[in-house]
Amino acid sequence: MKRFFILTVIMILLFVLIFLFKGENIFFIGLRPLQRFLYCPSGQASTRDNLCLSDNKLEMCQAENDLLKKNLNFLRQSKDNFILANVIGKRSESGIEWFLLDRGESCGVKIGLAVVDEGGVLIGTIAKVDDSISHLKPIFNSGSLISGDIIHNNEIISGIVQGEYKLTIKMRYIPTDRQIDVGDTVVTSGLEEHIRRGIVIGQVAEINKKPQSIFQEIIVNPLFNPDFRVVSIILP
Amino acid sequence: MTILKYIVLISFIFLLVVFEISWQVFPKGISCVFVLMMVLLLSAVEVEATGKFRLKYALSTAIFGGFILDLYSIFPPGLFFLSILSTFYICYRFIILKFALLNPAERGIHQEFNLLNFLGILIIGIISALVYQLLILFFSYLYYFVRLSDIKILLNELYFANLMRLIFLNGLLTAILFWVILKFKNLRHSR
Repeated sequence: MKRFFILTVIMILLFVLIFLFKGENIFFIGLRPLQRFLYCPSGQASTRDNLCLSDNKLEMCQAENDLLKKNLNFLRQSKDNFILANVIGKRSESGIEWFLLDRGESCGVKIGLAVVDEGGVLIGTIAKVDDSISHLKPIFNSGSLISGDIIHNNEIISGIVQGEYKLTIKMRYIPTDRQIDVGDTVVTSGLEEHIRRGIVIGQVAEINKKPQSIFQEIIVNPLFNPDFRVVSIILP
Repeated sequence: MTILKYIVLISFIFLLVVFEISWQVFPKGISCVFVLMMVLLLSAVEVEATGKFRLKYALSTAIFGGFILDLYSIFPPGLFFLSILSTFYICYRFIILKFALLNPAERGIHQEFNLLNFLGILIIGIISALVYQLLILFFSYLYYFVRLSDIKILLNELYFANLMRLIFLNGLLTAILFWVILKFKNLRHSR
């Protein structure tokens, strides 16, 4: 009984210290360099291994420099306020996938902000923020919803963009009488609180029209770079 | 000495979680904390059958592993902690003690379901992984309905396909690791 009581007190203390008094920062800040070093998207693993093997540090710096320049070029052109963030991890649980970014509330990150890649294409939105890290929920996650517009011959057609099975993006609730072509651009509509209008999401890849249905369904080809390591968080 | 063991265990759990999240070489879906907790629990039960009691390491793994998983989780704090601690309790009280450690005569048709053959360990591993996944689902819905979270796990084809893969992967890994430890122990005793 005494042991159980001590264990319960320790658990409550840990919970309070870590989650209520932001003790989590000790772990996040302390382990950030290791996580940044370890994280490498699956597609880039062989490239990084080769670089490490040949000890070509200069080439690696050059690649990182190019990536940062691309980010800055897009952001200067769009005149958005932004924060650059490194992806330090990726987790998946019960069909929900999320990425860990090394910027948090202390840098001005809020829930719902848009996250874009070096080309300014939407990757997803911020789903949870801690003091020094944040969690990015990608657009292709099942259950990710965002309002979007299709631009077709200077006409704007609105709908809801939804991730499906972590593989594709679908756009729903578009009336069947609206004309859409394969290759039309899908952008954010700006109806969300912290996401501005006009951030590119992807291109129309397939149009599914059923004769008895009042809505048509669009399959969107996402345009973001799947091997992102540095992302930009667009501030409101 | 015991404190030192705990420090080593907690540091190991922490590094395991960080490696699992940031180093993308682990097969997708493997829950290292769950596997470690199950291996320690099965080892403790196996030792307990011979008279000693070492359940505390498995319990510590469940507690600290749950906390650390919650640190890097998109869900509100407590979900993984509650899930893994409940899994520990259910597996220990209702799966291992009720079935796996019964006398063979009492077990009846479940003759093969024990901690001495690989199939029995694999079945325990798979059932435990299923319990863990179902508890995550249960607590995520509980959080969603009491409005602590706006993330809802969708029960679609992807979820069920993923569930099958996760329970098999984690169950198999638990069984292999425990089997290796068991064989290693037997080998050491025989010498």
